[in-house]
Formats: sequence, C-alpha cells, structure tokens
Amino acid sequence: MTSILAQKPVLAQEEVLRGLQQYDRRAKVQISQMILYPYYFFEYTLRAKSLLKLNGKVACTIDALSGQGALADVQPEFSPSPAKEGGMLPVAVAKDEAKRLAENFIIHTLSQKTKFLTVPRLHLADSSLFYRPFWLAQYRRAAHGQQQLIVDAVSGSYHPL
Amino acid sequence: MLSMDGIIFVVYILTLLGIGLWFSRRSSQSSEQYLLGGRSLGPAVTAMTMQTTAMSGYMFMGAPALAFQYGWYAVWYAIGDAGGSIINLAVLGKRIRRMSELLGALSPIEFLEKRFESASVRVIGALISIVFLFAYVCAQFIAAGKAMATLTGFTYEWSLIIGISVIIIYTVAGGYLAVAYTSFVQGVIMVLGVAGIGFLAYFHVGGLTGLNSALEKMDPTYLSIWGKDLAFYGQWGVVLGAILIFSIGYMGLPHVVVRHMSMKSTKTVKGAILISAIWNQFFIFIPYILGLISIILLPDIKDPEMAITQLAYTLFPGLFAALLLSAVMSAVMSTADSLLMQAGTILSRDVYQRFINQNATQQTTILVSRLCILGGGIVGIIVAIYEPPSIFGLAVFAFGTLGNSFLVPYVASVYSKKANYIGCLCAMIGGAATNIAWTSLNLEAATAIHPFLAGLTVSLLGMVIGSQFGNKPSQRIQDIFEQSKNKRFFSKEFDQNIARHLAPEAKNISKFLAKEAESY
Repeated sequence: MTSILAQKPVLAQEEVLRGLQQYDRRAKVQISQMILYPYYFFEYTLRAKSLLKLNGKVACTIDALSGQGALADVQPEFSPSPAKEGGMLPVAVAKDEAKRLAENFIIHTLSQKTKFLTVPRLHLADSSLFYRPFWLAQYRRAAHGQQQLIVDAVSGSYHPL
Repeated sequence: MLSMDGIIFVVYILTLLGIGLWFSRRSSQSSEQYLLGGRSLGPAVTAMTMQTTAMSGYMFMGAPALAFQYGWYAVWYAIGDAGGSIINLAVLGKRIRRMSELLGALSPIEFLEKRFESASVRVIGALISIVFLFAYVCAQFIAAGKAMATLTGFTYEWSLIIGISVIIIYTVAGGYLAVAYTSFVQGVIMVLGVAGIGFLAYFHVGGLTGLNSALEKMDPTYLSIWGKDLAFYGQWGVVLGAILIFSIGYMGLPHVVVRHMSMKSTKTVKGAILISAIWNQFFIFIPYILGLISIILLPDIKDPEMAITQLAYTLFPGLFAALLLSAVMSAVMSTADSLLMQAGTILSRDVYQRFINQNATQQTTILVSRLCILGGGIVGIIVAIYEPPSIFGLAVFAFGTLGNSFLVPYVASVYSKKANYIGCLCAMIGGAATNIAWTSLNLEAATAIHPFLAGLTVSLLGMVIGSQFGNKPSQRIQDIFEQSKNKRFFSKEFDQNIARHLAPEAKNISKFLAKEAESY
C-alpha cells in the first residue's frame, strides 16, 4: 500500500461537534467522513540586507489543487500514513509548478510585509507533499433543510460547501 | 540645535527601533517559529495593533480641523465612518459573503474580477487604488511635516523633508521592524493620550452641555447640521455625500490578503476583533469633539489641523505632550509606510509586470516597486511643499474616488443578474473620473452637489448603460447569483465565524464530492 505524509487530526469528531454547536445549539450536526486535502510545504532560509539584517526561516504551503499560497506559522509535524481508497483529493499542481508558485508567493509577501533594500536570497531548506485532514459535516436546521460543511481538523476553522 | 521635544522624539524612535529589533531577532532565532507566520499574540496585543493601524494623520489632524471650521456639521462624516462597517455587513454583507464563498474569492477585488469574469476589472481597480493610495500618502506626509515642525522647531518645509526622508528610509530599508509589539507600545500611548486629552478637555468645557452653550454664545450656527454660517443650508446632496463617503469608500480599499495556515492547533482569538470594533466606534468621534472643544479653548489657533497637538500642550506637561506627538508621528510613519508599500506592489505587479515587462524577474519587480516608492515620496514632497491641500480634503478625495468606483459594481454584482463586465468597467471609470473632475474643478460650489454624489450618479448610469453591451454573464455566474439570493441558512453567530480563507478548499472539495457521487 502506498504511504503518504499527513498531519494528524488534532480535533476529534466529538470536539468538532461540540465546537460547532456552541454557535448554534438548535442545529443538528453530524460528521460523515474525513477528507484528506493535498498541499505542498516549502521551508526557506532567508537572507536580506538593509540597514539592518533580515535573517531567519520562512515557510509556506501551496494548495495542490488551486495553487493558492498560505504562510505557515510554526514547523509542522507530518507522519507517514497509508493512502486511503476514497476521500483523498487528487493532486492537480505538479511539484515544479508548486515550487515556482511558492517562491513567487514568498517574495510577494516579503515585499509587502518586510522592508529591505536588496532582493532577499531564499534557499530551499525543506519541501514535501502532505495531506491535511478535514471533517465533512452535515448541518441540519429544522425548517431550513441541511447543508454540508468542511471543518479543518487541525485548526477547527469551518466553511460551508 | 534640536529642541527638548525633538530629543524626546529621537529617543522615542530609538526605543521603538530597539523593541522591534529585539523581537525580530528573537523570532529569527527561533528554530520552530517562522518569520511572518503570525502566531498568536493574545487579544490585547492584537486589538491594540489593529487600533494603531486605524489611526492616521487624518484622525489626528484632518477630522478636528473640519470640526473647528464647520462645527457640528462635521459629525456627518463621523456618522458615515462609524456606520460604515454596519452598512457593509448588514446591507450588502450577506449576499456578497455568500457569493464570495461560491466564487472562491478571497479579497473584494478578486470577488469583482470573478463575478464579472474579467481581468480588466482587477487592473482598473488597481489603478484606481493607486490614486487613492497616493492621495492618502500625501495627507500623511503633510501631517508628518506638521508634527515634525512642532517637535523640532524647524520650518514646515524642512520638517516635511526630514519627516518624509524618515518615512522613506523606514519603508525601504528598515529591516523587519513592523512587529506587532512596536504597534502595541504606540497604540497604548496614543489611546491613553487621546482618551486623556478627550477626558480632560471634555470636563474643562463642562461636558456636552457646556460645550454647546459656549459654542452657541460664539456663533449659534456652529450647532447647526448645515455647518457654520449655514454654509450647506438645504444642500442635501452635500450632506448625503458626507455620510456616504467613508461608509462606502472602505469597500474599495485595496486589501492585502495573505492567507495563513496554522500548522498546530491554536485557540482562535475571537475577542480581539470585537474589542477593536468597539474602540474604533469610540475613537471615530473623539477627534471631531476635540475639534469642537478647540473652538472654545483655542479660538486663535493659526492652523486648526494642529488642534489636538495644541490641546495636548495646553492640558498636559510638555514632556507628555511631546511623547504623544512622537507617537502620532510614528503612527503617521507606519500608515504612510504601509500605504507606500501597497502602492509599490500594485504598480510593480499589476501594472509593470502585466503591461510593460511580462517576463520581469523577481529582482526587477522588487526594484520597480522600490523605485515607485521613492518616486511617490518625491512627488509627495513637491505637492506638500508647493500646493499643500488640507489633510481633510485629501482624505475625502481619496475615499470619494474609491467609493465612486466600487459601490455600484458591488451592489450590482449581487442585485442585478444582467450586470456585466462592460457595465462594471464603465461604472468604475465613470465614477472615479467624475469625482476627480468634480473635485479639481470645484464643481460643488456651482452645483451644490457633493463630488461623491455626482460620481455615484455617473457610476450608476455607467453600470445601467454599459451592461446593455458585451456578453451576458455566463450561465455559471447566473446560477451562483440565484444561489446567493437564498436566505441565510446558518444562524447569525455560526455564519459570522465561517473561515472565509477556506473558500478555495471548500470549492475544490465540493467539486470532488460531486464527481465521486456521479461515478457511483
């Protein structure tokens, strides 16, 4: 069986249900399945000169379906796990393309958020394809019907489908 | 030779620099935490940082000057400003939010681009943002010049050059100093300072009753809703424009949207946004009230834009007043700095890279962005020295141009199924051009119509007429339009906590599930 790198779900089903119900006690929420969503992770060491030096590490993820970038806050932990039969989204962005998108994203963000005179030098320190777990939930309200949601099993953020 | 106040300012800036350096060194040395990742700072720090961002030269100098000049009429602008978020959320918010989710759009401009299915919308939006950004930066420059003149005792021209040079150096060469903790220190000083002045001055004039009776004795028309000397009597077009300008302008602000992903579980800071929103509402009115109070306490003030500063020197010991002014100056610096950075990025990516050099390397793009910042600085110095408009006038012009370009496209995007990209482009260009022409030719005096209202009318006509031409919105957009009309499904609280940044993931998962269902 093929193995993939994935983040471990931090929030169990019960915690997700409790979390969602705190906003709406009358709704009935049910979790139907877990979905694994693919992202690329890129970590860079950064050096830029200005009046003061700007050194450190910066990292981002690239959505492996839409190519959207996101800044990562802390070093993640990925653990190998067996690939699932269903509920795993296929990768649509190739690794080279993702690398190009990641560099663009990091440079663009740096040019907006930091101040430097010289162009920052980025050195790729680490990269991997990983899967992030999302819970798929059914949200029911009497007289309103039902709606599907995804809940990020690491951060607890949610969004309707 | 620097005055005592000048020395306080230098010490203040050095202290901020020290705090910034210490925190950025600490975060760059951390083996686990990444730069710019924005790990939680706690609700107090986050709220204070948000508050500092909202404070600018306009708040400290423009707003009190208008109140000093026109009396209670100025509060129309504050009402619009305070109501802005309410209009955004309550009237348009629901449908736009729903449609954004369905379109997978992350920022307002991206929303318009996807709804009207045209990349030109993004480019025109970017160009209009540039007009706004430079006008607003210019207002900050003038404020910086005035604050520096008070602190250093130099002439306005020299202070302006010193002030802008400090801003430019801060913008392009300061390293990673924009750490939240620096904003936090500044925020604490400004919030305490402004609240302190407000508190002392308010009781000094005997509260609202005392203020109003003193104003009435000086000139009863100060209390009129039509402005001092009834300058805008019966001109509903002007009043309506005043109320709408800030409430609507916000919708077109160029947003810097950077997605963040928490790699480990965090407890979300929900309190911060609420605290900040309450503070914002409170602080919107204070500068106007201080402008009214200074009519009584400082009737002979030469430059009403310096009303808050003068009040600080009148009511506080010199040291505290200088400290407050230093905080104002650095707030102006950080506002100008982020506006310049945004303008540089928009010009280099959306204009230079798209139209002039499509194969530009990262190095060239960054160089162009930095040169634009430098160019903007030089133009700013020239305008602020030779033709300095009022800070208030610049802010109104900047917000007016934005509002006139974006209001009609936003409303039409969710309320008119026929509205298409030609209509959107006509509305954006027509609205902005009318506002610019109306303001520069001073047509308000001849027509009694506020530039904002004139721009709004032309923008509306542009949308209605323009949408008759070109292709109709695609079937997909028409379907999304119908879906977004549906009544809100979730409870209010649940809806407010939806993580909008997950829109692209939701869209992809939705497609994936539909495909899986088909194959079964």
